[in-house]
Amino acid sequence: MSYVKLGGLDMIPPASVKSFQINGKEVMVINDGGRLFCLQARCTHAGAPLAEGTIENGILTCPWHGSKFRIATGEVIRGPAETGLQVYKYVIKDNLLYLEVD
Amino acid sequence: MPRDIVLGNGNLAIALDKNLRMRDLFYPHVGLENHINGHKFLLGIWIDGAFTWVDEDWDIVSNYLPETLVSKCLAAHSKLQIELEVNDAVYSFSDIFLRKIAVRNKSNVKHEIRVFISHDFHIYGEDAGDTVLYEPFLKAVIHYKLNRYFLVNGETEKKRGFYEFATGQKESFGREGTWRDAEDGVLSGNLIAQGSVDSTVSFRLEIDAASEETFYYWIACGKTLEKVKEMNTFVKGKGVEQLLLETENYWSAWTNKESMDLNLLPREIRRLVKTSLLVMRTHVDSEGGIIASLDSDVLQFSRDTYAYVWPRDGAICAMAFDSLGFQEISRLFFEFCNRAITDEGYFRHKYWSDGSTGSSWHPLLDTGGNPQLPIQIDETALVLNALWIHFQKYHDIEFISKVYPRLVVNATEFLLSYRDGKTGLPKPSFDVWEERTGVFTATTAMVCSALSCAAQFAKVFYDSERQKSLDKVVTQMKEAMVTYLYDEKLKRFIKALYPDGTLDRTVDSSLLMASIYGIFDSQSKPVKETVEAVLDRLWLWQGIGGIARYENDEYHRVSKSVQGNPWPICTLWLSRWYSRTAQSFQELNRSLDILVWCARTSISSGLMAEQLNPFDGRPISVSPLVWSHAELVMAAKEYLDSYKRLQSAERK
Repeated sequence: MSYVKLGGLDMIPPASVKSFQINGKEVMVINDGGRLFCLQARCTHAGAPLAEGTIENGILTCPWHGSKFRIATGEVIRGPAETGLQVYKYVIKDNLLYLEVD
Repeated sequence: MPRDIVLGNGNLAIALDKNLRMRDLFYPHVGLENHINGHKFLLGIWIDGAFTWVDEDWDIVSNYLPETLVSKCLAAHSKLQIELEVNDAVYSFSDIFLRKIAVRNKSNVKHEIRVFISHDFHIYGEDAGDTVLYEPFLKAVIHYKLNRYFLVNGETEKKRGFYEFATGQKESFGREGTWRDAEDGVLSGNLIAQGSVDSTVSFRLEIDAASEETFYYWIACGKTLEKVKEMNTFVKGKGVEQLLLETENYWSAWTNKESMDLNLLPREIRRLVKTSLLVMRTHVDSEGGIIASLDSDVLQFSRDTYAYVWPRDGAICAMAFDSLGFQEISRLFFEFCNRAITDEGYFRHKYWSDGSTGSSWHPLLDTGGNPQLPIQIDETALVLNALWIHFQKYHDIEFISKVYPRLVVNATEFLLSYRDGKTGLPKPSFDVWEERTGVFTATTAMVCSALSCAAQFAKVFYDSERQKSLDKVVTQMKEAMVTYLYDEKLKRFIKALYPDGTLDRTVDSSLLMASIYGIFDSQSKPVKETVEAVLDRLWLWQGIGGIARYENDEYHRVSKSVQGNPWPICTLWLSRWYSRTAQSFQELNRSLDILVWCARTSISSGLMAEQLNPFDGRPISVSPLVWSHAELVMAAKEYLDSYKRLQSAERK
């Protein structure tokens, strides 16, 4: 398993979302009340930029067509999306965030 | 009224106001042939006998789906308990306006709801000689004149087309138009009208309590009847829903250049940068012209608009596109410039987007009755500057070689010839604000920078003699700026030296050009003291803040209690100067504060105006203004560059 450095934790303060290009994939990091979640950044329905969506009670709403996903697991709560979001593992070392990649 | 949403694909460009009314439709060029010309395509609702147009009685929020040129506007009427969600777009691959409207019945009873859309076409910008007819085989309404055809059609989710339609005369013989016919909820079904005409169509929906129904609508734009019929068949076959999805993904892919890393910016700024790029793109014609604004409401001088290509605005836009990797667009613009520049090596005041000469208010004689070139030489200088910036980044020498003879050599020769033999400064020309003739600090800085760019081009092509002679001219012109345009007593640059020898000491934000184009070091004392004067005299300490253009600016002036209305472009020049001079993250925050100010003063959809009301921040003059968006993009990029510079210095 290898890791890719995304940056310092201060880049993702609480209640913020940032997306990153990693080996041709777009990944987003969500800081929801101090807890970090790394997920696929494009909606599985039509490719919307999920980092522009809204997050409430751990549920992310797609900004284009309103699909809802649970950020902890990536599962679909409401369509039109039918497929869940890929969830990525990460590690934090010396206040730096690393994403686990294959 | 400013525009809230602009849409386009390079051939078809559309602007809508805050009441969801289409106000401008340009086709087949962006900026040329406005077939609505500021008139209104109304949207109306009839519910169980009560009729309302979507207007100030509605709560309306305009926005875009993030990273796209597909709108998402919400309009709610609390009394009628109804909500509309409107998605508008211009299809990215064909000249079709697409509209999806979800109608939500928020009440607890079932309603019959009729939705009306009126079409006040003024084909070729004129109201005479149009025809509108109902086409019974396609169940569509077609407006046409000469070689312009606009086919309007639509269907509900249940594949029902228009419920009713009307065609008729307007603006003559006391006839207001078919939109009046809609107000009783019923349309006449008149089949054809000629002359000054309009049309209205309706959709009928039966919506259960607390439910919604959707319908779709489109306008196919073409040069022949056969073409628009073919487009109509295409839309019916694929469906508006699918075409909207394709358009969303097209623009999302366009916006997300891999080279563009905006992560260091706060979310609201990231969003505004992307919206700015998209808004700028809607103003780029497929043949390369970049027009200043699609908004036709402002009648700047004797019924004229901003739908022209100013080489100045276009060059600044090209620099902004290049700064974030959109080199193919700036190339298209330089090709336009290569065709438009005169054989003598200068640009005229402005152009139509097909390259023909635009209207102008610059006379051929000066105030003393002496012949003058009716131009602003900053326009020629800025294109040369933009081309060098482009080349520095992309090194596309084969492309440059195509435009080099006209855009570099001819333009340079003109700038060299257009100098005063005594002072070494450029000869008088119109200023960057297009108001006065003289020798201006801002213009001189841009010309000096252009000649420096020409010297660097000469170096690339190993023409050492030319490089040396141009470098010498640059040095002389810079010295002349200090001699004639710097005031030792005031300790700052002055605005201008006029042909009669008088000096204009007005504090003008364009004085910041002395450093923006690299002629004087941003940290140098003359520049710093000039910036201090601009900040002291032109920052609006009361009201919403921001920088006024210059002292006592009368253009659209709202109040004598401030120097003028704040202009985003002038305020962003200050942000760029802060970025260049910041020695710490704390100092750099001043640049960020201005970017945040821009985000907060832009309207909900992210559109930025030319100027703002100093007290309530409402857009004044045209909105959007492409120049404002281009300066925002460049200021954000300079902030990012400075952030990385400081980060790197910190690591060392």
